[in-house]
Amino acid sequence: MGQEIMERIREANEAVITGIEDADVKHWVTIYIMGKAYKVPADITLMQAIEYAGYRFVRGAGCRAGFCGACATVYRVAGDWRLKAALACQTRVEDGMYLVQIPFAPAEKPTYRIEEEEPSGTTLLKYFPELARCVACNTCTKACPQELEVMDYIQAALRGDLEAVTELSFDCIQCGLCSIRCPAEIVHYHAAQLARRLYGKTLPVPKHVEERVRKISEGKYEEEFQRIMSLGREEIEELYKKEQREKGGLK
Amino acid sequence: MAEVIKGDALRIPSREPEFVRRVEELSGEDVFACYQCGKCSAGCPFTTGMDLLPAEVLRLLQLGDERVLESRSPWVCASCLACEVRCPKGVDIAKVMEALRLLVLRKGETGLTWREIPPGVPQIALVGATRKLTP
Amino acid sequence: MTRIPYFPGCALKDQAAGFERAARAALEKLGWELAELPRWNCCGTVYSLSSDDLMRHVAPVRNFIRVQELGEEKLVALCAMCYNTLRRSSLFVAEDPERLRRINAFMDEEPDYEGGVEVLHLLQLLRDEIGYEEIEAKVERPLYGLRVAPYYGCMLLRPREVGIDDPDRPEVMELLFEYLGAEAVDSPHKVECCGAYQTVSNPWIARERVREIVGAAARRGADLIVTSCPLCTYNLEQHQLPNTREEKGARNGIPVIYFTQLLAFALGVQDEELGFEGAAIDPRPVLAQRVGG
Ligand code: SF4
Ligand code: SF4
Ligand code: SF4
Ligand code: SF4
Ligand code: FES
Repeated sequence: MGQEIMERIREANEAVITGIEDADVKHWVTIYIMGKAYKVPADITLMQAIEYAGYRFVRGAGCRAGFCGACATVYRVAGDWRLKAALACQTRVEDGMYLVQIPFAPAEKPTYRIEEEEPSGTTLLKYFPELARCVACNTCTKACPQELEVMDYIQAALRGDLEAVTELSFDCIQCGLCSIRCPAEIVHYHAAQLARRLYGKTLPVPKHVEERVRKISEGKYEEEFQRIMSLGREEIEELYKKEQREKGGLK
Repeated sequence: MAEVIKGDALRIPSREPEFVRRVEELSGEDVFACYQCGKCSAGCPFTTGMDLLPAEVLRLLQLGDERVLESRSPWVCASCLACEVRCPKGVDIAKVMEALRLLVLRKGETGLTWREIPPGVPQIALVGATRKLTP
Repeated sequence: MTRIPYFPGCALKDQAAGFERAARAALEKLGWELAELPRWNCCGTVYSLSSDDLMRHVAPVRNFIRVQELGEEKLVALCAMCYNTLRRSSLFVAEDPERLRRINAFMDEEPDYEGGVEVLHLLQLLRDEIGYEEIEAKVERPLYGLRVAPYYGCMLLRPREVGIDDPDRPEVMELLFEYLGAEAVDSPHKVECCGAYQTVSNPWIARERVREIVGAAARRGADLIVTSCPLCTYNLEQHQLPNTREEKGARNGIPVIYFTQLLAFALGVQDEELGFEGAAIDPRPVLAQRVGG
């Protein structure tokens, strides 16, 4: 039933997505962007709604497809005490939504030379000692739009289990929502990235990668590189389109 | 154990400063129960790093002397509870030390910076230190 | 095999891996198996001493929920700090249903914890459930001639309500070692703090503590010091001699090992399972010299 209504709303609002007039929009909701009320068509994404309301993205939007993690947003819905977190490009507006985007989580990203680091829990704690502050509140897990078991990967990181961190954090898109909410002020995604890099060091290099690296260093592709480097902008664009067509990408 | 006699006889509620009330509330301990026998100080293995002995911390609290808030002792205390098992009056001094730390930590100040961390310490050292010494 | 739910704690999965490995091997000889809790989380290692900080009890309670989900009631820990924190938290929430209600309400994604999980330390299990005589009967390499100094530290003994033995004159380790054939070396410092987490913020004070503790054991002729805590072990090893971190294996201080390693050694567990390679001061030479391979 609910499904059906949503489907009808979506059809009725097809106009918005394809860029037709307001007059064609049949269903509206009110949302509050940074406290100011806006009437926007129902069923569009938060990202579309923010643009519909007249804002232009300078930061806070990237792939528009749920992959880049640039569009982190926190919101509450009227009548619900919970502070929720979502990706603006992947979440639909709801009536009575209060929202603000948090396009960047202020976080220091330590620099390291991965070749020189020992793959161990000690290395993780050297760069991210704040991992030790986790109180197991699970707030990060509840905030994650990728539905990862974030607390579990932080716990695994604390005990130096690089393999578990890698597996549990693999789909992290570094949106930073976990870190914004964490009472222990942990920077989850940077720690997980270091853990994955360290874990990667323990794995054997795949045959095909080894093979490719060998060919590159033997100069097998040198001629082709030189040719591409010498092309002008238009020729490059044409080449790109041709490649994509061959892969079945562009129409 | 004999019944512990509370410290109410020593208390002058109208003269009791707010911070003393707060320490008692956070620790759940009766600082006026202490009769200054000094057993806690005698047993504390950390006194060389302290500016006030554990019994002195209790005494300054009884007197409402604010200098106790500046003391280094709570930051050197390792919550080892040697004092707690010894006190004949049943005062858990470690809880009083924790309350004094919390008065500072809950304002967002830290008693530990990351620069101090020796590489390779076990997790439990870091977890313990951050829980006791960071906000 | 009798299985018992087991809480490892972070350090036993990392620096103190030998503590766990030896425990598993020794218990197998005794017909027991440690069943690692699924999805356990760090317990917090230090018990919160404030009256109002319910947040610090979330971590222990979450682990109790894991035990409850298994339909079990007991949880055994090896690390003294984990034991202490978990045990105290279990009592803290049992004392006042309102505390538990609020913690359960906060963890709205978890089933409610109903209470009732009993936290044990492995030394209690060895003493009370398995029994020293049973252990003695399984000894394959009696430790005759070995002088062992038990080091209890704080967390097995204090406060009284969670202590596994008398806080001033404990004997649970001494008795165990004697049943294994060793001689227990007594020291007044065996129940004094090693410096604990102050090793992070005030390392000099930990060094001072360790000098006293190790010095007393050395003066009494101890061959080995035995602990039940990875932080005690770290402090007793690293602060034994000045600037020794770089000289791993190359020094001649008193080796510090876990009680599970001594137990496993006496029960005839294979060398690979004893986990001695993680020790900063190698205990194998003195064991070979006193007891033989
Ligand atoms: S783990 Fe954190 S940074 Fe990664 S996707 Fe989830 S919320 Fe975003
Ligand atoms: S939000 Fe922070 S403190 Fe809470 S479980 Fe996640 S990492 Fe731990
Ligand atoms: S708990 Fe603190 S004050 Fe008490 S004996 Fe230990 S270090 Fe000293
Ligand atoms: S042991 Fe107890 S009564 Fe004696 S001085 Fe210390 S706190 Fe006071
Ligand atoms: S814009 Fe890339 S995830 Fe939303």
